[in-house]
Amino acid sequence: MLMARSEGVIGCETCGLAQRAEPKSAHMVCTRCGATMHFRKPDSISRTWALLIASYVLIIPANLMPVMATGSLFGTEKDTIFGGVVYLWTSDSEVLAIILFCASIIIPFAKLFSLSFLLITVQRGSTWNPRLRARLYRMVEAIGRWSMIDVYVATMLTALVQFGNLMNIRAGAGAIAFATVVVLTIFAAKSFDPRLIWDAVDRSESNHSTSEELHV
Amino acid sequence: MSDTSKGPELPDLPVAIGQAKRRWAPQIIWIIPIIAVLVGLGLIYKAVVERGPTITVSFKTGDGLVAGKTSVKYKEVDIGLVKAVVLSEDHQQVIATIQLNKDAADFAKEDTRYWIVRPRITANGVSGLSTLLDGPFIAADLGKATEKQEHFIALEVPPILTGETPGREFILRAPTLGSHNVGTPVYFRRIPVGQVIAHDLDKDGKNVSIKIFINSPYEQYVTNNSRFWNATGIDVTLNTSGIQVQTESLIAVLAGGIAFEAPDALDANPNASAKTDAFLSEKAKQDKVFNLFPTREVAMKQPDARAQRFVINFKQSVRGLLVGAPVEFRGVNMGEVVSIEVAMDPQTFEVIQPVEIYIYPDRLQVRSIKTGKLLPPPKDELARLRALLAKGFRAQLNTGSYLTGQKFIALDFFPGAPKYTLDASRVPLEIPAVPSELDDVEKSLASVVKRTDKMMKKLDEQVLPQFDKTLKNVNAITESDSPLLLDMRDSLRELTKAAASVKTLTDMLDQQPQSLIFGKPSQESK
Repeated sequence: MLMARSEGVIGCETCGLAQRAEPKSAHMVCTRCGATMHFRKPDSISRTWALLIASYVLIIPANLMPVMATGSLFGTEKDTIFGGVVYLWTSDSEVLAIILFCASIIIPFAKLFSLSFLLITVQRGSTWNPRLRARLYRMVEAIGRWSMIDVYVATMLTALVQFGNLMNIRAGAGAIAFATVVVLTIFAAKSFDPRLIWDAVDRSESNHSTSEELHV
Repeated sequence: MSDTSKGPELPDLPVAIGQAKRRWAPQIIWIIPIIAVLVGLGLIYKAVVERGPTITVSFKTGDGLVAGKTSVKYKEVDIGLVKAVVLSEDHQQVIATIQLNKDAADFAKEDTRYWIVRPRITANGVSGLSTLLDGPFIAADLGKATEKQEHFIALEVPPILTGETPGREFILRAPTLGSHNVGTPVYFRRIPVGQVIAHDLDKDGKNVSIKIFINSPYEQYVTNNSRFWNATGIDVTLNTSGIQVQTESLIAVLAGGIAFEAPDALDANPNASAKTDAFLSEKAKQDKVFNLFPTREVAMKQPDARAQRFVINFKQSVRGLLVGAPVEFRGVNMGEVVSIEVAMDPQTFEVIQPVEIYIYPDRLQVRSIKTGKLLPPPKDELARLRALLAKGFRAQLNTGSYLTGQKFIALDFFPGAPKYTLDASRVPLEIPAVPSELDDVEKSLASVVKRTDKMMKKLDEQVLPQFDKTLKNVNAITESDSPLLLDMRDSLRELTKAAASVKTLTDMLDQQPQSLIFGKPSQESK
């Protein structure tokens, strides 16, 4: 299989112009648009792991600490994400509860697990169902920013609902952790190079062919 | 960028620009997870280290207790949070598990008090209003003990005082609680200076102990001779200077109150030595017991530090005499009646009414009649009593009011009273009684009645039959056929005849005066 890398050809990721790689320098910019170009994202796996581990660490306080502190005449209420889900569920807003549960709990965790799965498979050079994994990655990338809704809601409310003693909302430490998790996972997804999925497949295929050739 | 065309002979592609850019080491990215881990560890450390002890507090009711919401406050600062609210095993109580903050670990002590703050409206004001909106919270009052404790029983009512309030506690003893309650204010010169913090029935059930707290700096005005009285009512006195109305503040009138004051005239009691004077004006110690008087007037009476008990054996009815009735000497109150009984001697069957009295000997001033100077009291009071008794010192039952029939005991000198020798071994000492004035009057009246009775009897037995006889005689005389009457009639007739003769004589003499000398003339010469 012909691969751009093996032929020394590199495509600009921004403007799409194919060009010949400068073999001496590791760092290249597009001749046309000046964007940085890589054959593969540099240190993709370790970077993604680093961001992912940071996310794993921070998702714990994000879920355990209060996201919002609602102060009103009726006292201060501190709510964690899960507390909010439970509150919505018990107050007969099951649909909202499901949406919040998906957006704020399932998606971040799913992202973390998906990225971990992708990283592990890439590192092990797995050839298992690369198409599915590529789709998984696209989903992770697309869906990642949706989790920011929670953070946006919290920040908007904090900014808008400031009526002194009557009612005020403060963002809790959990919100910061949660926002950090979301941002870190977005970066992690960004730093992961999906081409690595196919590299392994290619390698195994070429190995296969060479071994076949050797045998034959 | 896959190109299907095979081979390196690709069309003339431009060559990418190589750039020698200084790049960060790829490991720099690991700073992010390291920071994340540090932050996470920091949070864990904070959670673990700043976590104070967990305590349980049992409440009668879980009204308003919400797990995870209800906070524990001390001086309006959160010191903990209710983590769980469960029923006790016997379902009698509600047990709240409270997670205290690290800096509030001291609150897990033996004598720390917990109670629920709810809105309370009393006569003295409104408290806990903020809880109307916030919902109740648990308030704590830090104890002083060093013993740690994990389970607490919440107070039913908020304590009036929290541990750090400066001031002093005193105990008042009163026969009844009256209208006092926890929170009843205590006034000093009409300034509210403290309040009732507790009341309790004595073990014997005879008195009520009222615990009061005087806030600093007013506790210095509570001296050993301070008098406390009920400042509840309106005291109206009518005297020669008009009507005087004495009240404490209107709130005290409505809600009750206790007032205190030290009698300022210390010199009025010359018997007290300088040492006792100093003691009396000294600041009272914590938990000193005072008596609670019903009114200011009673409270401010001269202190009767000493009371001597005497007995008076009356041999007459003591109806109208009540326990507490005054014992007066020539109209001056000297004491009061303590008990009234009736006793009988088993041998002689003589019945007496022993009346026990208190006499406050200090009310009897000792002063020289000549100079008017106050003198120290006599050392030997028994000798004094003997001397007084020898002079005729006696007790007498007197009527205080003829309208109500109330009686009092009057002490006075009755020089004519029968001699009495004091038996010093008897306890209490006896003051002999003399019959009361009214008694004398009654006696003489009775004797008069008796005499009259006797006279009447005599009259009835001796005089009346004779009188009857006389009457009969008279009757016999005056009957129409009685000889006496007939005789009288004859005599009267004779008398009339005689009178007519005399008239004839006088007529003839009038016409013929010479006939007296010449005699009666003949018919023809007429």
